[in-house]
Amino acid sequence: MTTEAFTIDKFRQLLEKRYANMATELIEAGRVNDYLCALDESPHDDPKRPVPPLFLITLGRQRRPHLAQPGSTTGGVNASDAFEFYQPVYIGDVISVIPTIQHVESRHGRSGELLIATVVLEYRNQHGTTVARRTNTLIRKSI
Amino acid sequence: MSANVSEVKPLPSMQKGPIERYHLVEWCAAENDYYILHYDERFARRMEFEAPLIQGTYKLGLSGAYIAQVFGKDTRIRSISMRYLRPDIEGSLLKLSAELLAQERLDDGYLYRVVIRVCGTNGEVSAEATAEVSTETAIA
Repeated sequence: MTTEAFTIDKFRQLLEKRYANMATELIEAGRVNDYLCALDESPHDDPKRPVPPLFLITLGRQRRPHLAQPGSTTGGVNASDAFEFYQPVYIGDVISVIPTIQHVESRHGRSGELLIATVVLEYRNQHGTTVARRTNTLIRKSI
Repeated sequence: MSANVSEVKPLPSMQKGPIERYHLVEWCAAENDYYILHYDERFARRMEFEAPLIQGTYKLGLSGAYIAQVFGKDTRIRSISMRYLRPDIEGSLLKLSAELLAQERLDDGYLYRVVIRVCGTNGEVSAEATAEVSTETAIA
């Protein structure tokens, strides 16, 4: 298998494609319960209660381009996440996720050259109120 | 937050698992993110891991459930910041524990700052978070 160099520019391009568009999603009870089921937690049975705040993790994802590129031996991993929650979110809310690629940089680590990216995701409800903000740091080898 | 607790207070722990592949695939579905590192052994081995990895965000989601268990369902998480320190492979038992670092009385309740640790089967801390949570009533 050949391994093509994965450069900082390619990493940035990949992220720009993955976060190209603002995503807007309806908060559905079924999706909240899928989230809770995966965690082996009880279903969200009261629509008057806010949904679990960390359910917001699930919003704004795109399946393509896939993080694991053909022939690649690395697809990267999450390094950290930081959430701030300002307002509760309820079933029936419509949340827009506005991504910003804050920076992409290269660092030399113990296992070689590493690429590190920080993406900020802002979550706004149907009233235009920012309900939460996520700062996600991704890391992958530059090989 | 002003009032650090005089002695760091451990909070009840929670154990989850073993986290099997179906949990990881269900998490992929929940997140709408089918990164094959979490269900394809061949790819995991190419990345020099023993087996598919439990998603870091899974541990973050579990931390939210843990906070609700320890502080109550009406707890409001104001912030949580998690560092993913080590991978945990499928089949791991995850133990979540926390320490209370600071607390403050608010006009309408209480504010707590906690550190949460997630340990894998080998007992090593694989993720660590700090969180600020508020409650209407004081925790016991």
